[in-house]
Amino acid sequence: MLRNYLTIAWRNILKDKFYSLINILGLTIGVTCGLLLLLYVTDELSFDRYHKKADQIYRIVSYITEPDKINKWQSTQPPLVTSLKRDYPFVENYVRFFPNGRVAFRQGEKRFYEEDVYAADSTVFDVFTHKFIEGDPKTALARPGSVVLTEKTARKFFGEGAALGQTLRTNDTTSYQVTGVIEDVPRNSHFTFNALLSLSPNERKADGWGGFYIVSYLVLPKNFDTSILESKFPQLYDKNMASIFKRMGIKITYQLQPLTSIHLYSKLDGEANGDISYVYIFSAVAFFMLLLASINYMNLATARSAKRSKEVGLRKVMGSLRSALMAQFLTESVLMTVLSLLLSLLFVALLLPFFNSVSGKEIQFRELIQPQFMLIALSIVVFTGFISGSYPAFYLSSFEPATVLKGSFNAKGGSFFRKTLVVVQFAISLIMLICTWIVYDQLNYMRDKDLGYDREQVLTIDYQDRQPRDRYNRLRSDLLANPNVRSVATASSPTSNIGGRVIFGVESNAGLKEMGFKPMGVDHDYLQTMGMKVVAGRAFSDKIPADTSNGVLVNQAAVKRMGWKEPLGKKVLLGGLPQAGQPAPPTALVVGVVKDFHQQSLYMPIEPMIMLYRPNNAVMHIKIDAKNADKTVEFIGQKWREIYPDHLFEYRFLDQDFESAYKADELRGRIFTAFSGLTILIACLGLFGLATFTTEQRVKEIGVRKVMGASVSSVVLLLSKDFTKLVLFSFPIAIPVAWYSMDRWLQHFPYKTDIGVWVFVLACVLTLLICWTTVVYQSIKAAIANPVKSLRSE
Amino acid sequence: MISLQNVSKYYPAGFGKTYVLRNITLDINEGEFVSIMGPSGSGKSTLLHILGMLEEPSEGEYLFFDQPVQKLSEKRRTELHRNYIGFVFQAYHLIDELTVYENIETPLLYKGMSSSERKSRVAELLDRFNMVAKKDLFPSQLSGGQQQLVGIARAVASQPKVIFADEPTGNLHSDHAKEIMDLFKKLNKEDGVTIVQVTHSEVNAEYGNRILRLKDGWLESFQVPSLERE
Ligand SMILES: Nc1ncnc2c1ncn2[C@@H]1O[C@H](COP(=O)(O)OP(=O)(O)OP(=O)(O)O)[C@@H](O)[C@H]1O
Ligand SMILES: [Mg+2]
Repeated sequence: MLRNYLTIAWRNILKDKFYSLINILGLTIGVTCGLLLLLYVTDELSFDRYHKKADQIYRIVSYITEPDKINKWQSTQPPLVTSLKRDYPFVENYVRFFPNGRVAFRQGEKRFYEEDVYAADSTVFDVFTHKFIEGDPKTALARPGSVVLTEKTARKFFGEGAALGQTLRTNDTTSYQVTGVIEDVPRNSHFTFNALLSLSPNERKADGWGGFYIVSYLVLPKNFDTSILESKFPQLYDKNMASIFKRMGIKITYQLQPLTSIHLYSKLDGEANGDISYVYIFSAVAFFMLLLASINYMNLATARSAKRSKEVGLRKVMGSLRSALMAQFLTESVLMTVLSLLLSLLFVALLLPFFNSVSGKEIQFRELIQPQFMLIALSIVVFTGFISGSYPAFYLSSFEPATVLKGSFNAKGGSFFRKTLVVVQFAISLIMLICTWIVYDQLNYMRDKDLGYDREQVLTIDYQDRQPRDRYNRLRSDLLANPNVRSVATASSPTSNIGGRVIFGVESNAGLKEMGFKPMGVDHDYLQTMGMKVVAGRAFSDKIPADTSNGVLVNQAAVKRMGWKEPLGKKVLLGGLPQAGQPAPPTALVVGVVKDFHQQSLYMPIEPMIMLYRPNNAVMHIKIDAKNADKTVEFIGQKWREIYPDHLFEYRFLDQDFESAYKADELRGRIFTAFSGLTILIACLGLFGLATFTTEQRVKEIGVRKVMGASVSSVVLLLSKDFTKLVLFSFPIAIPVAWYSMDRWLQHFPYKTDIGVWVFVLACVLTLLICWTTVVYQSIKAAIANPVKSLRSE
Repeated sequence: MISLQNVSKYYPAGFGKTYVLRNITLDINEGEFVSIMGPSGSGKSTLLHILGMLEEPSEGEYLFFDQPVQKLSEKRRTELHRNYIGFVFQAYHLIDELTVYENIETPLLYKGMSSSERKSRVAELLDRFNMVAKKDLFPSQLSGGQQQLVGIARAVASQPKVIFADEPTGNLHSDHAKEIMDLFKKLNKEDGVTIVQVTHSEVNAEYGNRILRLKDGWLESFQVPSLERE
């Protein structure tokens, strides 16, 4: 029986090629997108699961509550996990990562900067699972002066040769012996590094509870109730931290994050992670694309029902049960979807490189043909086939043989359902269109927003070490000799990312108080170099060197937070309130107020800030002319190498740095755009098929109308009218949904664009235009056809 | 075998109803060959559909092999269609997507026959109807008469007890019509299949042993067979 169904299904596919093409094309687009999104989602869900103890590892993070602010930091103090391990036997293991930032390694003549270098406890390879290419995980970081390299790093220095036992030297006369090479940290990891050092003596000894700068992980028993450990944190605070933080009104507690939930759920300060809501959003998009393709199928299948009605009647007369007929129609739709699955696999393979570049993932084709993934894909596809086929099956199998065979059958039935489906399709497409539009609006808004400074054509160079800074003045005057170098300055951090927070004693309206401010050391050229404005008082000047200890600048946010009416002359104690038995910290006065500028990406609000006058800071800012920029950069490099022959010349452009913060959102924006475009395409395919079909059905009516003198345009209008109505119906459904969801999405941003009415208007107009283009071809074709032909064929 | 008691059929019309069949009482015995005649719109097809259980009577009782048809479940009725009843239509109504062979095979599939049984049964029918050479053609590649032959082959494939034929020769030239009618006669005589046909042609009606005349839904006359012809 199944063979008979398959034969009929196959012959039907071949018989009406146009109809099959539209259906298979729609389903293929839907299934291809569905598979790609499924790959994306699977990848997002796979983060950190490759560790053997993934379900037992927890990251411990700090919640630092200041009187007016809660900070959530990824870092903790060094002695935290060691003391937990000592005090609580259920703590099975721990590992700490001490960030060493960017390290310049030297091996003979070869010198490279390695980003993301950490020193780690020797337990690191007990806790995390990394595959060793060379060396022994048990002993790799046991001895001081050891380094474990990732494969990529090892290749850089040693090529294809063995790295084990070789020596790498860092700038400051210390050297490390390579004790292991591991495979590169998989990209589905929340945390990545290029080299791990064994702890330095200082790091080994570190026992201060005042500084939060290391990342800590614990291994706890399986299915451990984390609240048991969390309940111990108040005691820990009282015992170790109260003496330092209590008088500042700072409370500290910790949170245990299961390793596998970090990537999608953790939202700590400055953390750029995945986001579970995007997993939901993309799953929903995948679902909608499949739904749209199914709707196409349902629409076309029911629209064509008249063609199948006779067969239904006959089969019933020959003794077919309704259920058998439903099975037959379902076989057809499932066959159709399975065909499109095969095509889709081909497309996915072809599109994968493109998808990776759009999404920033590195998904391999072999991940696609994993049996597990194929099983999911197949079940989704069969399910799609069932959904697509269910209504047509239900509808078609309901025909009464007596009616059908008498010939008094008309295909009017189901047309309400069909219209509803078209409205749903266009509503979904319109929602996607509006959302994409607003996402792009927001991204552009962030990119174009006035940051309060001029970020174009500014090079930043990070002095890695203290010692070369001596020669800064020479470099500065050499650079300024070039007319294309407009200005040179230094600051303690790059302007695109001013982090940190320091406690100052400040004069408030109720006496001296301790409060946290964003600190920044700048020289007298800085404000002018960056084009920042002073709104009250004056800037720092090399004529007033005493400002280094006597004067500070604050930003407007600081003035607002302190509630100062007259900010100039207010006292700022550089180092908190005086403590009994210690020399009083230097007291400076506010000499100027800087207009607010953005200190980090626009995901972060502007914070109160205190600028200190420091003539010689770590990050050089060089403003150059737009014209001849390449030459100027070359010139700067040449001067740099003259003055610092031992140091690599590495620079960044401030605006690029700034924009890199939006990469994740931009990538997601691009995926979203691609898929909303395809959603519209699927909907249009369906509409095209439906339009073709209805015009076919009305050929005779059109012929009669034309014989009676109807003009071409009136016929086109007649045929387009119905579809226009359907698209218009989708507007009131789509607009509120799109508005509501985008309003919620924008809540994530402290600085956001307004949702303009024109976005909705334009999106609606665009949708209508697309719909007309789709329908008009068929209508015109029908309208200009010779009426005699269609009438004679009866 | 077939027994109608005061069967009526009406459709709602406005506030009232229009009767298509009125008070029909009728018995057909196994082995009979009955012709139904009457002007267009008199309810012939409707009566045939009721007999073939494609439509339900509005009033009255219908016994098929002494079973009350109104009380049968859909499943049971489907079983009767599979094993007891065959249909032949004026417009042939073959499945366009299936070949001659497959069209004849379809009712056997529903009957649940094994594949080898099906093969021999279809082969036998093709042989008997002289269609062996045409077995892989599609209906659109056949003449009207050939299509109707396939239609009949399909109807008899499942070896039904009764065949209902609605103007089986309505679309055919008289030569073809005669061929088809002879075939019915043969089926009736040699295989003992009961045949109920609707026809507009007195000549074709004469093939039957009994003629029922319908007028405005009434069964008008009850003609006693004119004994053996030929
Ligand atoms: N679904 C229906 N609703 C209302 N009236 C119907 C319906 N089906 C059939 N009729 C009416 O019932 C009457 C009998 O129809 P039927 O098809 O049985 O006639 P017929 O005798 O077979 O005619 P013909 O010789 O033209 O085939 C007709 O007048 C027709 O209009
Ligand atoms: Mg009729």
